[in-house]
Amino acid sequence: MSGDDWGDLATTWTSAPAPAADTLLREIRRLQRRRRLLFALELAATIATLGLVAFIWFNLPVERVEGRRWLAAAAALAIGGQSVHWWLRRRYALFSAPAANVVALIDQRIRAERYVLAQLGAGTALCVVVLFVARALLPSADPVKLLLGAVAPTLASFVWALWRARRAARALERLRAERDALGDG
Amino acid sequence: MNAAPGIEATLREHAGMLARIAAGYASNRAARDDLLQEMSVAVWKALPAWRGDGSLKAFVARVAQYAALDGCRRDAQAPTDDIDDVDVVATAAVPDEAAHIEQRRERLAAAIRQLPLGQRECVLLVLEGFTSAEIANVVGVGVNTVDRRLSRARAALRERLREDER
Repeated sequence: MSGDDWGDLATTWTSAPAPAADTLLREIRRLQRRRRLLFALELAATIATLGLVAFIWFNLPVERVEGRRWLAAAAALAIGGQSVHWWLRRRYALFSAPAANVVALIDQRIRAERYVLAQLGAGTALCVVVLFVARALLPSADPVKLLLGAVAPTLASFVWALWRARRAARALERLRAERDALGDG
Repeated sequence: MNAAPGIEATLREHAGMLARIAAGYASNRAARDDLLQEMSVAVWKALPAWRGDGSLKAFVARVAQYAALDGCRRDAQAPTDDIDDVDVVATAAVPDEAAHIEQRRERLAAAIRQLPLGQRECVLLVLEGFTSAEIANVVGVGVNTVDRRLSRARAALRERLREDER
């Protein structure tokens, strides 16, 4: 092979007929529809929650102060949860431009894995917050029952978070090994 | 700043390059089609972020290479029966000259797939007409590293293609 062989090989290589773009576009259109639907559902769920809170708020007798506190807490959680979700996506650059090269794209993927861990951590923290809010709003409630009611879902969330964290950690290790393998010279 | 072109126009222009990059990573036709589809989806997701500060071809190649690496990572987790069954039937149905070119292309693809990952991505890009500097930009390594990889890859390909011709 001479120095011009890349040119000869490229001629052979690029002579392959191009695949039909329509077949590729079909799957993309399906994903576009799914993405739009999921976004609409997420938006609708938040709006419905806030709408329900507003409806109950305006139909609640003025003297039901405790009920209004519950509603305010529910609205704050809905808005806070969505905001944290949005912030985490931005924090881990999931909405940013793709990185400048393949190695940096792997870094971006590692950040995406960390985002999953952070999201699960935030979810667990939210459970703890719900527990404290419930305790503050229901001082007369039986603390044992309250704790049992809250501990079960929190524990389940924790186990789920740990399982996901292990999977994410393994994926990160594989990505790092793959990245090191690129430096084969 | 250029506006990002639509996915339809991009795929119509670069589907051939995507298919060739996929052929450099997957030998089995089904796996190759899957990888091509994954690359197309990756390009679609990344396309709105293209700022026009480089060539669209390089942008598409970079995203495709990354999608291929991601595919390799997944395949390493779930190994499949990687039978080289590509185009055996199609080749038999076409005239001699076309079949000969097709065979040469398949031999080249098989030789490329045996290269280490780092060399393979450089070779796939140089065959698409990218310069060493452009490849360095796409892959994220120095120009010297690209040249070194291409030099080693050329020697390895020469050896394998010669063996095939015997």
